[in-house]
Amino acid sequence: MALKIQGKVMVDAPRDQVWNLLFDADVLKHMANKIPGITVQRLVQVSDDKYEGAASIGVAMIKGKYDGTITVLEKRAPEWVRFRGDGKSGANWTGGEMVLTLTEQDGKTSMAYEGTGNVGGTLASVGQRLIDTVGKHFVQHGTKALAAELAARSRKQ
Amino acid sequence: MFPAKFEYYAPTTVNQAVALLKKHRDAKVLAGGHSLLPTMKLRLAQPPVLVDIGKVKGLAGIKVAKGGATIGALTTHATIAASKDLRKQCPAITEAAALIGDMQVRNRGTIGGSLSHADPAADYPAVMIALGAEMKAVGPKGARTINASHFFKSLMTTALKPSEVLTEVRLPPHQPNSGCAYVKFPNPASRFAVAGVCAWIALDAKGRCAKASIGITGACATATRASKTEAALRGKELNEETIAAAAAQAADGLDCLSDIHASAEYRAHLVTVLTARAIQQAVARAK
Amino acid sequence: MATQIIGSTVKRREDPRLITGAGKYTDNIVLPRMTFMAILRSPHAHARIKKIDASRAQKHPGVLAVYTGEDLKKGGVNPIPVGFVLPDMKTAQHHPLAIDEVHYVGDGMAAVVATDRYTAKDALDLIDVEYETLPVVVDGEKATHAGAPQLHPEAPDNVAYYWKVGAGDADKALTEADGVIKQRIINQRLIPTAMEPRVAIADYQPATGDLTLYTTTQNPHLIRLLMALVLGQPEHKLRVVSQDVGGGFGSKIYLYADEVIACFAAKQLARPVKWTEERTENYKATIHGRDHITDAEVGYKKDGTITALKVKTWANQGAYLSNFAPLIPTFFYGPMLQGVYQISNFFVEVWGTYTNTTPVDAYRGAGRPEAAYLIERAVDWVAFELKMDPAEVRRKNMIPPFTSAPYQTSMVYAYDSGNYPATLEKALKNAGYADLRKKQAELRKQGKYMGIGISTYVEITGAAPAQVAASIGAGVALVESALVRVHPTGKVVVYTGSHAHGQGHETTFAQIVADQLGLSVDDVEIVHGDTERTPWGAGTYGSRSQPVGGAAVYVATQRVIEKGKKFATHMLEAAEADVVFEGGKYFVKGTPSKAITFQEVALEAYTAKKVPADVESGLEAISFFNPSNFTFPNGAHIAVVMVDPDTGKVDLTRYICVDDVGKVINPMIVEGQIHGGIVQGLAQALWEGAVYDDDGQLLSGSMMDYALPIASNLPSFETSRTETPSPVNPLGAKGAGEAGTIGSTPAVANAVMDALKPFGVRHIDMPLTSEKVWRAMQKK
Repeated sequence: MALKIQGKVMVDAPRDQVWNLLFDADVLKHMANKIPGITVQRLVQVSDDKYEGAASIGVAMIKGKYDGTITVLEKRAPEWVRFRGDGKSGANWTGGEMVLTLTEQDGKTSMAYEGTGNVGGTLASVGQRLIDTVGKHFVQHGTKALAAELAARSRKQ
Repeated sequence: MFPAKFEYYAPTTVNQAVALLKKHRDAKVLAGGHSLLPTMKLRLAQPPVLVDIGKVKGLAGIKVAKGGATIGALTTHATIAASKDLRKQCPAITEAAALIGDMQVRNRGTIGGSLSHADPAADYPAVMIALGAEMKAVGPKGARTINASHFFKSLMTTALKPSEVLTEVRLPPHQPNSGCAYVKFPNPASRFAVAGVCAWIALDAKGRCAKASIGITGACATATRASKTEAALRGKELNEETIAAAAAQAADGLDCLSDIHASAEYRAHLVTVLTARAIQQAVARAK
Repeated sequence: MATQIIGSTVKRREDPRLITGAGKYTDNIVLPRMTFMAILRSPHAHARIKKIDASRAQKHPGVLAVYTGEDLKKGGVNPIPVGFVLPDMKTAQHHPLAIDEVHYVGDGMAAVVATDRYTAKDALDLIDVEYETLPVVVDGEKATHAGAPQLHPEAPDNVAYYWKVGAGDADKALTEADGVIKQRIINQRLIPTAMEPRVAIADYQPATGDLTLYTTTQNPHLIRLLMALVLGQPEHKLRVVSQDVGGGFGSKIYLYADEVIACFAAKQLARPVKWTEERTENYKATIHGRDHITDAEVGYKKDGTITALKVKTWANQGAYLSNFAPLIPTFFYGPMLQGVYQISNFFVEVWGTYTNTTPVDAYRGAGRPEAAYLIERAVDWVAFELKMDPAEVRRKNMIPPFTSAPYQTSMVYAYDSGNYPATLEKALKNAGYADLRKKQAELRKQGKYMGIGISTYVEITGAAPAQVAASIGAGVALVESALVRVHPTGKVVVYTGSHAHGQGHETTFAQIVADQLGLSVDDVEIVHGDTERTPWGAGTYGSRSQPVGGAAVYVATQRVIEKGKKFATHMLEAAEADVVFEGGKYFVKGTPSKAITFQEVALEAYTAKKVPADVESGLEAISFFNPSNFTFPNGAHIAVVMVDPDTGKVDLTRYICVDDVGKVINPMIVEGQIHGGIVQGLAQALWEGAVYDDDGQLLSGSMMDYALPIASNLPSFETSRTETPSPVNPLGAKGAGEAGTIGSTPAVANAVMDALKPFGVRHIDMPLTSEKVWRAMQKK
């Protein structure tokens, strides 16, 4: 079931720094681990534009161990990147594409995101009523966590 | 319909259950099993350990006294629906129980299980919020009480800690000149609430609204309170117009769910309709 | 002299075992050394299988084998054939396990056989599949658009077939009409939900080469034939057994991949293999029904006369053509659009299309609900536009009574017999129609919205005259057989080719025999569901068991009576021509006091004390009944609903129906069939609907989201009948199994639209969910 994702977060860091940190596997891993319901076992960069990993993802008792990839499809430093993520777990899969647009505002960065997410398999066939909510939950927490992680790392640099 | 492998424990006391939960961090508590087991059979949940509290003594039953009612966590929906004492003091909860799922679900499913699972479309949460119920939880450090307003945290997430067991629900005593009602719009397939509203209304000596407490379920990721409607009712003469005006604000600010059965817009609309109906019934009972 | 067992309510003899939990279902069968199979199904609606690596699963303790599509192909397993072939039909190869590409969510890719069910299921997660996902199309019309994803190279533009039928000159009639209504109308996809999902157990004996398949089929003989073709197992070394089955509704007619794989695995492993479908699997892997998108044009005169109907339908057939699929939206749909009306100009074209969805085939009603829904809605559109009473528009166009000669319709069929005005008038009377209209007007003034909906349907049952069936594309003769065997004590066993899975054959077929032979129903045993015990039967579907299977029982019983006469002649020492059989006794015409009983004759048949050597012993007869025409049951259904203007919720408050299913064998069973049918049909109007997302994921994949009807939401039905016998079989019976489903969908939809009339709503598509109705009411 496709869900539309759209929003904006402010990152308390200059755009160039945000851009550079954005592609750091370690940043992504820390960000994901801050989302309630996600525990990342492994997340590594395998090539310039590809990451691979494994994570336990779920809400309350509905949980699965996902193997997945993140692929950067297009980017235009330091302002624009389109990437997709795919994961599978037994009879379930998730996937989605997202575009991030970074704009500098008074030394801070506005990060706008827009994309679609999809879920398939058993999750889609029995859990349609929750997909919208769960999707929103992960995106809201994820983008907030990403902004926080980016800002924290930027301060350390 | 064939779950993954799991270990199974059947403690006979709450303390044993808590000890098991403390030892097995990923364990799930099994009560009536009408949410957990289907999810396991679909393999969407694969808890390595189940702690079945079904054999724990003293967790089932209803006591209605002057100081309020207590309902044991293992009390089934069917028992609650059939309780005359409870209906007299608090018809909203018996109404909600009678509307849960189907007969089989009501005969096996328990109030403690339903509340701990905190399905966004479950019926009880609206009632708990409107009535100001308290949940008794027992954990490794002993027992504590959680007010319904703080119990439902987010989607399927409650204030219970992983090693805590919900043992009892307490409803405040019946106040004179008060009434409550639960009104639901069921999903035609699952009978879960597309939206459900519980209203509790207390009248003052002049028949005006002294206090209103309204809980909403089904519409959002978690059960919530219709604060604006409550405020709009307070001190008001309660007639069709004032109720309608107050109910019209029930969905304000709600981030409503959207699914194949109902769009967010329709859910928000239903919330206002059901709120008005629930208030009307509650007022009629308060008189 | 008839003993009047036919036509009387005899309690269902199958019920004591079924309602006390003593039924024998396929999943109850436990065989020594039995193994368990689970199927890995695609979670993607369209994907190329880049790699299947089963090595981890194969090594898993308890796993005996893992098979893929390639393994089956190498093992000589053929694709599953289509049993009904239209001209220029493009049949996509349907391998029991997908090879190279998967085409819908639920398409099987691999099978695991293990020592227990849990292990089999665990091992599915250990099969590593690499997919390359492909674009998806789920909409039967969009599948034909330029640039749509292509499913099968053998079917360009996803068109499985194009079919048309017509009469007169529809275009000309539309031009000359006083008014023309153009309307898109959707008959949504449904998921048949039998109480028991499918189960198959294959048991192979290497020493003898015998293969037995226990399966939940509606037609064991057909499965044996198809399985022989697919598996290459000789038909005489193949036995198909179908015991008690928890409902089918059409979904258990077909040969399914799972059964084929179980048979293949049993032969490979030389151990019994059991496969039991789960409910979520059932919703994806068992056929769906309906799914039409239609553009309709209706021409009418000012006085309400309907002059033309032009229809273009896209029939979504799913990812592959299931066994009967092409028959349903063509011959069981197009010609039936005439309904009970005298309309002479038609043009009907049907595009059968492939999409990335579960295959669609016959589901209770099969084609006729789609036709009845369209024509019955169309009549109401005309009434809406002309502000006429819908009952009046029906009267205006209705075919007059015809009871002595068939009525040749404008397209293909000749209706066997019917008195349509009688059913309509009786239904209107039973409903108190005039009073209902008055009440409706009063309620509207109070802001309350009551709706009254009528449907007057006719449908086609009792397939089929074998030669006609063959000429339109059927792969097998749709005849039914019965062997009536009389034992020496006069007790009777009937071996019928018709299978029963809820229809009550064990009662009604026994009634036919008991009635004719003057026996008690308890003297007659009905055996069915085993190809090794029973003679040929094409199957139980299309409401054909009574008009075809029951007729075979009747004819075979008559033959037994005739054979008995040969013994009776000698026992009575009379001339054969003078011997008559009445009330269970043979006697010489005019001297009933000196009668001999059927039991005495039966004993003589096996003892040969009085008959000369040239009279062959034994008392049994067989009949293969081939009807001279289909039968056409009809009826008038009236639904009354209340619509809540605040929420759009529809409450059905009354349901009145008059059905004419010809001569009735057992009124209680017919009423049960009508009740069940009505519920299934009105559920389509109000609640049921399969929902796919654009990725081809079935979002209504369980009963959490697929809204089945619930008894507590329904009123008591006010059923009634008229009885116009069919001339095409000796019982005078027409099929009763689907009538309710066909009549009720349009009655309820018409009622809802009638309630919405003050809001200016002519049509909204089913299911008429609260939200849809509420939105329609906002437009005022």
